[in-house]
Amino acid sequence: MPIIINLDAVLEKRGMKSYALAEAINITTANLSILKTGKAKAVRFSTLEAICEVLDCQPGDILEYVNA
Amino acid sequence: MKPNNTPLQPLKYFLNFIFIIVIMAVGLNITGILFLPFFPESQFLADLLGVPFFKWEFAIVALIISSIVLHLGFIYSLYVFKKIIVSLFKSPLFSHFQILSLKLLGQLIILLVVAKSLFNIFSDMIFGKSELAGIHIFSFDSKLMAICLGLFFIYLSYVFKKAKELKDENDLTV
Repeated sequence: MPIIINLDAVLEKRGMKSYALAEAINITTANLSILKTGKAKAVRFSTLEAICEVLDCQPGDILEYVNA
Repeated sequence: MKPNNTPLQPLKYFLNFIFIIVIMAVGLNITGILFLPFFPESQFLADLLGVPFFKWEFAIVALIISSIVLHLGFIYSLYVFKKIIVSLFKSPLFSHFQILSLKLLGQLIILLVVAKSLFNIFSDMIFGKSELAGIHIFSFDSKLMAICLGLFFIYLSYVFKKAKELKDENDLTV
């Protein structure tokens, strides 16, 4: 898929673990794993908003379009 | 996501009832065929096999065997239908099995209706009787209605396939 998820990189910058983020944004670690591995078909605005709020970043920091 | 089972319960019982009746009827037919060599003149056996009279002629024997094959096809269709209903009870909706089974059931219904029509034509030719008086084109027991039902099951399979795609997409929405 040409949309790349850079969540791992942002998490590393913030020094935050995946399970802590999952807990903070109230989703399961399994769903967060689906998002991180790029298997997700869609992301809810509410989830994106929660991620940006917790990680103090912009949606563009997490999502990147790569011309395939 | 599991369906509300209550509306399906009467259908399940009704299918089980028809299934038992049809198996008994086909069992009687097969028993009749086994006894036929000993009582070829028996009117009772001829009635049981659904023919006006019996003679040891290839066409009549072939017709009786075709009738049993059609009945076995009907039993198999009922079995597939029963499996679908059980699957709707026990498994989540829109499973791969349900999609394939609905399509198979639709195809079986159409195939059996066409085969039964051909059977009736040959039966008329052999026994010289006309089934036309019994055809109800504009009622629910007509063959055209049965073909519509078969096509509807095939379409339902397509709907289930699309629903499965949406469900998968929904499951992968974070």
